[in-house]
Amino acid sequence: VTDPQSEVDQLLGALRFELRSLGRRARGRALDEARDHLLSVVEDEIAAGSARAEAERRAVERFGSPSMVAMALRATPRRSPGRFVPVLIGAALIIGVVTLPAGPVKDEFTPPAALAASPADLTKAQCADFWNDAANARWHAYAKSIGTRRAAIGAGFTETLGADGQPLLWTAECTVRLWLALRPGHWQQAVLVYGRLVGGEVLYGTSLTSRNAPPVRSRQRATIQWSNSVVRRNGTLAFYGPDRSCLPSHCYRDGPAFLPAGSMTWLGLPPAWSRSLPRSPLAP
Amino acid sequence: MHAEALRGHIDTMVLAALRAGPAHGYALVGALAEQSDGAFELAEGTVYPALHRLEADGLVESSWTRYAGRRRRVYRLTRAGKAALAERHRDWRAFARGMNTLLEGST
Repeated sequence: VTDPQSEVDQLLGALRFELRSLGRRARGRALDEARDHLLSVVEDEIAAGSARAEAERRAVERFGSPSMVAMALRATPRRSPGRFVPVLIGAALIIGVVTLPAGPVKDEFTPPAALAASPADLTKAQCADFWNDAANARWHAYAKSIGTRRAAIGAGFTETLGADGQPLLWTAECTVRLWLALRPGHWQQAVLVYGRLVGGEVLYGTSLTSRNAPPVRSRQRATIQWSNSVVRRNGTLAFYGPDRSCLPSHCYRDGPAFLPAGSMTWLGLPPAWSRSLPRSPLAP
Repeated sequence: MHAEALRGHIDTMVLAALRAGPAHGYALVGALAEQSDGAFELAEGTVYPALHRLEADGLVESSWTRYAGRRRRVYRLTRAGKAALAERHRDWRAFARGMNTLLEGST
């Protein structure tokens, strides 16, 4: 719905920056609520006849100063979580993939066609089917080109990414994770390809993370390098770097991010964490 | 009525708007405007700190829903919230009665 440079996103970026001292969950909640609020205003203003730019301007104006809202939010006492609430709602389905040499980095690709036409609510199976769809051949080729070892597909995720410890501004409905192994057992990259469905429109983003332990050992891993990127609606890929100076507004820059894959080894993910699909979406 | 005059009353206003039933923040803002005949002008973002405060105090509870592919938090009054609203209403009536008496007597 929103352009990365839109007034709504600028406000959300500013709010995110102001809320940087809050915990991840509280910040994510506040940002999700603000986003929903702003987009609701935009939708209503457009329905009432306003142009998008004017609708966004009105939404931002009506919301008020992000500094003031953030100040009030920061002053709000927080209830300590009584019990663990999983961040990831859906269970990932793990898919085996083929070994291919690293190819050239793709700097642009189109969204999965089937997913782009999907309803707002996805099941895991639907999400996997969208990825498997033959229309997504270019995505499959892309996954191969960066040496993907496994793809994990899940729907219903509610997750935020953070290039500098701050969450980005959107959540995911359908997630495709591409796991790489640059060295046997170490230095893996997780490329997350997101489909976000907002008002019938789909935006995409990716995250590149290098880790020093298998992804399943989440408590042991340490993120050492990463960048986030988005797939623009014009199909190009833009990167949101780890440079904090990009905040509070979004800072996108073009450039290479995906490292060439080195020697590939199979990641022995435990069955309890994953299960194979009957077919590989990355099969040649 | 400007935001400054509303300061200190937003929590009560939010509780009152939730009396009609569960609502998300944007709907609450609309209900506040509608139920007050547009008398209250507040920065809409300020409703969220109020909601979070009220939840921390146990006066409202909330849960996530989904709308148009995005997360939406829906709030509802708790039993304690209903009791608090009734108490604040009583306090407000007493305050307004006293203030009216004072103002009308001074003119």
